[in-house]
Amino acid sequence: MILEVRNLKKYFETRKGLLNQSSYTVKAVDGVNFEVRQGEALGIVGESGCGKTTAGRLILHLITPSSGDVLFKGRSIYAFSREELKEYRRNVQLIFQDSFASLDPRMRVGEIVGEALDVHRIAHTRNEREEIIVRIFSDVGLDREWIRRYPHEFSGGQRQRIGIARALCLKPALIVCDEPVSALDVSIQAQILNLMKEIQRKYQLSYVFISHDLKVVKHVCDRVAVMYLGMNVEMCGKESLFASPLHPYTKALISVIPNPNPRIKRKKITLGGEANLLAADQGGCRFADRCSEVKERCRQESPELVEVKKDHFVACHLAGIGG
Amino acid sequence: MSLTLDRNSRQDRSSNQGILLSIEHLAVRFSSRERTVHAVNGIDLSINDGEILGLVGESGSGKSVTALSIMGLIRWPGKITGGRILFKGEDLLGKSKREMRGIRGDRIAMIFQDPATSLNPVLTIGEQIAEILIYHKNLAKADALRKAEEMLDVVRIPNPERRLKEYPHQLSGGMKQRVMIAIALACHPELIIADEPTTALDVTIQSQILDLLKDLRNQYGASILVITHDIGIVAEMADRVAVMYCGKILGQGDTDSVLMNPAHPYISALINAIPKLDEERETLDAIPGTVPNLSKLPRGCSFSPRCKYAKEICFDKEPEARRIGKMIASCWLNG
Repeated sequence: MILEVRNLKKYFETRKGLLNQSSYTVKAVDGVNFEVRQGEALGIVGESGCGKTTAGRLILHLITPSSGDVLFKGRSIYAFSREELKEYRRNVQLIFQDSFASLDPRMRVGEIVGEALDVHRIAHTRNEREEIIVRIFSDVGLDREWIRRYPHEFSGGQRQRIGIARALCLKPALIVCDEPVSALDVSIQAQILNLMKEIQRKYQLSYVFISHDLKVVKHVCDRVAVMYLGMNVEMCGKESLFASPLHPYTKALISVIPNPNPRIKRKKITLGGEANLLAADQGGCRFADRCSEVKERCRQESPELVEVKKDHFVACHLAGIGG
Repeated sequence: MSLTLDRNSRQDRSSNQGILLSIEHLAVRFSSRERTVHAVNGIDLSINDGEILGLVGESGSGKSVTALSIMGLIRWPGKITGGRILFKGEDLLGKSKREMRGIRGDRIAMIFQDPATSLNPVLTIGEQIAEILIYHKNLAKADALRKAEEMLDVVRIPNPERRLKEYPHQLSGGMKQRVMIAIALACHPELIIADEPTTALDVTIQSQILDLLKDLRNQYGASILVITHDIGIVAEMADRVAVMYCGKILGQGDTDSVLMNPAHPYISALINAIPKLDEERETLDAIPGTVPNLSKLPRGCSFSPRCKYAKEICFDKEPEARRIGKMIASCWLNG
């Protein structure tokens, strides 16, 4: 077990009103549980406001939780000393969605990758450093001659490869990928997804793959956690998720994915309304107001995430009763 | 919640229709001191009455520039250098700016990708819809606001009377997009151009918006030009599809033919590159290489450097568009 997330919560206090008098709490992440095993890719899927990006930031220790814990190889990351935290950052890296914004425009790309090596004192000589950079570039499909170029000289897909190279050069155990291919054209997206699978095998990495795109997650990940308004509503292996989704939200999400085959006429479950955190947080299940199968109990009691089948977790009062 | 079954009524629509819009040999270039980009490089495209046409392409394909050309919104450093855009027989490119202002919003309307930046932040929702009606239909403000409320209802926004007085920032992304659609529909245009209408929206909201657009087409009989990079969306919505690459249309035809039996390697490659829910594969069929520099297009077919079927002639001469099977494609293969 590389990473364990236990009952993680992150609440943000905000103010509203003319003179900022009234405040309310945004429960961005409200009790999330999951695990990532060595060499495994866990997908975290959800739409805007579901809390997946906040969860990613908590795992990376970019923000601290309101309560709950994240364990790396059994130890709480929020209890790390400064040295241990630095070591953690080497072990848990990040790939961003916006490759342009995440690369310093005034640094040559070889230097961007080299900076990471310097901070963690990986290479002992200049030659060794250069060797590592060249090798990583080759692993991500970039020409060694491009080491001296600047980010703006590359296309979106190439910049994403540079971002991956930077994450890889520290030989991390786990990479958190936050929508790594959402900003890319379809043809380039396919290249980058293939690359990510290849390096996962080669470097024996684990991934926490955050995305709104279920098709992409299905291709890359082994297990999937579906989030809705701060809660983990379903979690299981990817085959189970797509073959027999149990949560009404998951079913709806899968049903509305457009299929490039015009002959497939599937039944879409079109959800009415929108996901509104404040409106939904009334005590019961947060999905109650949009759920077609809602019962009285759903409005009173918030369901717990429960293992209803082997390795298939669902937070729904109705799951497990004939699905 | 509603269950929607997509019915296959596409075949009925494609036959026996008038041509609403016909683009002939359109060319648009963008020039700077250093280089010239041929954003649209001689395209032929038509839209029939009451039809939904999907225009698909990746970045740099020229699809948005095509939309802006129809709307008369190309400005320096862009310039339309050739072709005609016939709207019910009249060439829009020959019209004055004033005439185009009369047509935009009234007979041809556009829905943009990012509703947050397309709505005026300092006007209320009601004012923005009413604006169109006052300008084009000469309605008095009170009548325009009444009609605006009707339009909000048409686009299925709950509590329309309250929304009229709200500002864009008070609405969610999905609501803002519905307001954009309301503005576009207000004067009952004959053609609606939707440029990536759901890209900025969550997939469950996207589903609502696409259903809405289809229902509105059925109700109002307007034609819709849907511009998108998402083939899934055109598969779901469009009667006919055209695929663009580097300023050219590589293939077009009815949706079923283009997507099930593409007569152009780029189109099949694009479809194959998409991860599918109903397929399990180790690697995706990625298209190697990248889109060429638009100011330095390769000789011959622009797709040839990335095409696994390319023959010598492909690198040498640009293929012409001709009928291959049930679609029109620009490719030297497929005799």
